[in-house]
Amino acid sequence: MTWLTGDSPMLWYINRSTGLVLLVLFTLVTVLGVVGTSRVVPTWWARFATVDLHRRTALMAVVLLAVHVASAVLDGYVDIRLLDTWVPFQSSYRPVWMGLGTVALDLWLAVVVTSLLRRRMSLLGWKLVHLLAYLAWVPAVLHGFGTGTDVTQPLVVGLTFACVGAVVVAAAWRVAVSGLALPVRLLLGVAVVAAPVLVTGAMP
Amino acid sequence: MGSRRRAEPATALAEDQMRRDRLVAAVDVLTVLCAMLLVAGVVAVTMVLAANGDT
Repeated sequence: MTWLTGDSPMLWYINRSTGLVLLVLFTLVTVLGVVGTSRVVPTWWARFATVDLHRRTALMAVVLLAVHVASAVLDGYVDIRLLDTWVPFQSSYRPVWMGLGTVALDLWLAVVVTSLLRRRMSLLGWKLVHLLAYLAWVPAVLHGFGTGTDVTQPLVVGLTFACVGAVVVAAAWRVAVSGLALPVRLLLGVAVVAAPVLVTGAMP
Repeated sequence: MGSRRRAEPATALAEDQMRRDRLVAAVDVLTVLCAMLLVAGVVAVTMVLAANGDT
């Protein structure tokens, strides 16, 4: 098991590979979450199936996230302490980008904990906290893009843009079928498309 | 006539339950597929990084 020691680069590789797979998995969880809130469902499918799939993929993502965090802390190639994975912007290694990952982790933890305690809290309170999951996806993508050692690879850039595109399409579709007044839908639709463009443009 | 009226909702309920069972099975298959893909993804990317010796 020498490859699992801090001296071996294997943990660093595992950290990077889990990060990439998490990007795809959290995108899938977010898309299923967005689509699952709509009552518009094809005749051959059912909403409960989307919601069930959303829960299961979210559970898988949490497990993979634990591996991602553990490999970052145990690895000796970069200096990331356990505290850095919970408290944002404390890390000596790329503090801003690492901090964004920590913010996403904290938000997701809040969502997971409130989902486990769902029966003990009001539906409105749970929904409000659950909305944080949508927000958490943004710093998570930025964390991957900023911290990502592999971000110079065209495949990784393509994967990131594909994930952003998938969430934008899902959100735009959700707004389109929301039943809100047309001006509100148009405004939200423009916001959904403009937000990633603005964020990408503001990145260093 | 009366027995036919009683039979129709029962058939509809059974069909609904069958449809539900099929969807639950489909979700199970998709879950397993997703789990296999994510493990394969992690292993494949780790192997590529290790093969390149890229840090």
